Amino acid sequence: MQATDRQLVDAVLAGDFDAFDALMRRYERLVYSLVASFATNSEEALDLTQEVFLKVYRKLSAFDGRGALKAWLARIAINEGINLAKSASRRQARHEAWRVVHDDHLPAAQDRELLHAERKHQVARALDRLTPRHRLAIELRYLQEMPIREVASVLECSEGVARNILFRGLRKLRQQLAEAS
Amino acid sequence: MDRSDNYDALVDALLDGRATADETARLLGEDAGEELEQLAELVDTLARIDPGSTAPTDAEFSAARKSVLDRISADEAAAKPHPRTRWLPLAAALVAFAIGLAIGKGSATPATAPATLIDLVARSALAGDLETSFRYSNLRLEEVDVDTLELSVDVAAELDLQRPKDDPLVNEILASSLLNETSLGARLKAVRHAGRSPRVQHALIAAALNDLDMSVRLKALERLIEQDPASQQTQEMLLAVVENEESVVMRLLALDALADDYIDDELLDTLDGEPALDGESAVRWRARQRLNRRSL
Repeated sequence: MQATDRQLVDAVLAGDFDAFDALMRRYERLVYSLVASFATNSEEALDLTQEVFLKVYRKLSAFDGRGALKAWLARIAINEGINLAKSASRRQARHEAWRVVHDDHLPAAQDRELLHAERKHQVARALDRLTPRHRLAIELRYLQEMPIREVASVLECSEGVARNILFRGLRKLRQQLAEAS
Repeated sequence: MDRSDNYDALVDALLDGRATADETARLLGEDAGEELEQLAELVDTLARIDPGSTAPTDAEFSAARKSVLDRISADEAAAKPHPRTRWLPLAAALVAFAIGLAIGKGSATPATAPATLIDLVARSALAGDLETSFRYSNLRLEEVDVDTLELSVDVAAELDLQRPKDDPLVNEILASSLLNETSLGARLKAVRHAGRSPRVQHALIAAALNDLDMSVRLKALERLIEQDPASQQTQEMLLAVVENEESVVMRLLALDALADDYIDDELLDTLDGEPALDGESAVRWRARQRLNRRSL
């Protein structure tokens, strides 16, 4: 039976390295995709993922277990991403939309699929132009499939406010797409 | 379901692209049909985006995990100083400390042997139960050559460790406290915890005879009488107290603890005949009692 997050945390705190390896396996893709929106390329995102897990290890004793570990991890990942983004002119240097849909990854098959791929590309570009809070809310809810409760936990707000942010984010995204077309 | 629950459910349905036209109209107004369509399409598109489409491969993630674990191991190893080197700055500090005490104290009391103390501390460090914090000052750096620096620094160290009361290091530190110019409180504490090791006994006797503070001399005297009043060195110390101590209380205490073998009639006569200074009558009276007992 797979260990619960709490069991893994307890094992790590007791000095079990394998448990931390398991914890990283469980959440590395989540952390990567969250920090990727702040990084300029995939290497930087992977480096930042490692930094996040180092920080998680050092702060793990502070995790009180009241909320979901996933949300706690996401919060740390986002903070690390924000710190990275604050460093000089990184955002200008960002390679647009590399992280979600790259041309190399577009399926070169049916027209309908191409249409979908193009649409996803547009959405990904528009997503990048949202405010960080709106973008994060949408990424957490739709790309990471987090329930509203966990989105609220990561954004450090109530569920009602999270819904509001999400709703406004979607509307802005729709506007961006309308303007682009 | 109350009103707010109902509202949240409607918003959730909208956010998940499940809201009907009627529900959307209630939230966004009657003319929101077009927006509903666009939002639903948007949510659908978002749901199709694979966040991991450009994610690293399993091998890359595996290498990243290994790197994290290696760094954690390295950090933890660095946080624990190597036992063979951690006591070196401490030893240097103790040498300076002991030499300073030897110079400052003069010849009245024996200085702590630095080599002994350093050796004991070093052994504690190797045993791995020594917590120290170092403070560096007067740092000087000189470049010897391209690859080498000459370093000169004063190191003060604070030790924090738990050892049994009869541990050699504990005894050495207790003896040092008694023999050197530590605070009055530290000296009194050292007397209270003094054991029976020869080193500590020697320090206790020195404190009973020479400490500048009468309370330390008195406590050291009481401790020696309590531990082994019949030993030769204690009896000689008691005699010296009777002969030389200015405190009447201490002289009476020493007089009472002296075995007959160690005090002769001549000394008791001397004590009995001393000028009647304040409090001396008590000593004279006690000496006379002893003489009377002997003559019976």
